[in-house]
Amino acid sequence: MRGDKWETPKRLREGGGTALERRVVEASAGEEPSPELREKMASAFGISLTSASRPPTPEPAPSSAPVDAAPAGARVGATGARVGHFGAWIYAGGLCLLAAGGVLGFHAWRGGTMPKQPVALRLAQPAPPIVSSPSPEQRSVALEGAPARVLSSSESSMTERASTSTLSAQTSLIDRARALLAAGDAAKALVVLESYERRYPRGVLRPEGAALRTEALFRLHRLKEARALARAFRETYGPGPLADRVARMAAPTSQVDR
Amino acid sequence: MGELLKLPLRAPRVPISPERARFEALFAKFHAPVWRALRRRGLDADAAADATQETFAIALTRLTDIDPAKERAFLIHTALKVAHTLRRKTVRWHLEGDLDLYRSPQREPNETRGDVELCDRALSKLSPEMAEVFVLYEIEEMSSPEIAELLDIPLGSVASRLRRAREGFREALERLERTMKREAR
Repeated sequence: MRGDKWETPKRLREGGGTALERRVVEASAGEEPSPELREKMASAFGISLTSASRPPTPEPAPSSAPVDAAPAGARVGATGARVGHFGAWIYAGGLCLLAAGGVLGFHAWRGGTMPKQPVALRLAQPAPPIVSSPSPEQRSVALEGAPARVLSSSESSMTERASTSTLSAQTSLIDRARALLAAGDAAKALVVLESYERRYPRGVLRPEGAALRTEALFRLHRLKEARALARAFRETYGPGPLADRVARMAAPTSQVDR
Repeated sequence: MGELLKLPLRAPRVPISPERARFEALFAKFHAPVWRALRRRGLDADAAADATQETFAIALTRLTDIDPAKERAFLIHTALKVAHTLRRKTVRWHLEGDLDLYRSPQREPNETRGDVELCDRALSKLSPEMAEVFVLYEIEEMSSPEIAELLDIPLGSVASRLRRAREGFREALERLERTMKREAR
């Protein structure tokens, strides 16, 4: 694409990229919220996605809904223009209230109705509609137990798949530690993080694991260890959002370091 | 299932009017692209769901202003502004087991999810401006003129950012792949 004339590049998924690029972009393009989440969010607006495909049909306005008076009001005789104008403000106000209600309803749903189950129980339950699959540890053990392979071009895609499976396994462990911390169980989070460090001594998520470990240690009031980790973090993993976060944990006014 | 659908606060219903049908259609058609754009913008699943809700709440108040031919652009533009307002850091992972992912039936769940994670991690190495253009062009498959209009930048800037984004994405992906291959042995 160099030069004065700009040309539309071929999209990665259409052959403009490597096999790995195509695959990861394809996966991202196919990621969708679950049907249940979509339905929940839609229901917060008082609509149902199952009726979304129906053509709009006029329905009688409920007597308690002045917002629908606007269009009709605008058509009424000599005073119609004034009523219509006022009605338009009512209609707009109704929409704003509805929008606010939709957001509030959604946040209330998020904050109030999700059952506060123990994390272990939540993780043990299969999440519909995702079909349950072998645990990350099982997949990881299977990968680690596989005989070493010479990487030929035909096997590179298999290695890529193993690599992404390993990353997914790592992510699962880090996610679990994070969820345990969020649930207030710093001790269990540490156990999970130690398991991660043993299994993946050179894991790509080491920085995230170290940041979570620092937080867990602070929460357990193991301050000496926590502060030592925090001091070494930036030197070990470099600057960035995680380093900033760890530094904030160790700050004197931090809520974590108490 | 019935328990999952209980809401403590009953949101007011959309006025019964043609606008309702339009909003329903809008939500059904563009909920996923908006959510994806927010996820690729660095929001975790919960934050992306929040931001998607806010995006559509804004759209609802401006329904009559939205050009029917530019609905997707309006929604994605609004979503990006919501994401900017949230000022979330790019911590790109999501909780396993939440009702936020719909698995593609063609592939194993761990492979698909791993690929999404890889993509997110590579995107996190790009500047926000480059990542935005990359996501809109490569993942949401918008045209360059659409992107230029949406982001209010010249067409040449779209081209330049996309080129740099693709270079950065490839480099990041290759680095990640090398690291993971070392671990897989």
